[in-house]
Amino acid sequence: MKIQLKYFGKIVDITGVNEEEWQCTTPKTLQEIKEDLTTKYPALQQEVYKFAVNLSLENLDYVVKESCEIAVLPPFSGG
Amino acid sequence: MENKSKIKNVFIQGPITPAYIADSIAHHQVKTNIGGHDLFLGQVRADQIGGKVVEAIDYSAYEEMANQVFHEIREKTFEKFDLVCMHIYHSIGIVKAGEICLFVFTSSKHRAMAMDACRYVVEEIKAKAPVFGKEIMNGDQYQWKVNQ
Repeated sequence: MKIQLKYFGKIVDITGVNEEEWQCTTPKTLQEIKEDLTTKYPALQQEVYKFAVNLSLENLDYVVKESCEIAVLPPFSGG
Repeated sequence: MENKSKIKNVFIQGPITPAYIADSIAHHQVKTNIGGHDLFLGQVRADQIGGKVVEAIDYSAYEEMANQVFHEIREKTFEKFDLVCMHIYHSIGIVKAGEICLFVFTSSKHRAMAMDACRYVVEEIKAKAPVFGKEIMNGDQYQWKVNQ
């Protein structure tokens, strides 16, 4: 299945791209996505971030489905 | 009443100008059931960080989610407070020190509701809106802002 990853703020400094598409063979939890991200971008280990799936914040046990848009969000600093 | 509406775009490219704010106030003169307004203006501070001065903040956002979050804050605010209307505007892109980056405007029959709602909205935005500020120093250096 295909998933879309979007990166914001400080996270983009680490990934070097704003978004990318991943192919996964089986459904994954956000925890597994987090582990895959850390493997690809080891510097993420030092960062605090949350996940939003299709515009809503979700916990790490959330199971990602086909065509989900997953956003990796560092601490908010609006205003 | 403006409390049931579709999702709006709250983002304004660059600073929110004093003229824009004045214009927004002027638009409320026809709403004669309003007895009190409150407004909050967030302004970019020239913080000193390690001997360098913040010259501007470059705001970016997960705009689609942020507009959804702003919409939810708006709906919740109308449920909690007896308001006539409310408006939220947030900058995107570069805002220099001294310029306005957030404009929250609440209006009610009486002052207490307008003032309580305004504070509530600002705190909700700070906590829940996926907006990210990059503090630019000495032209080409930066650090990511962290809300207090």
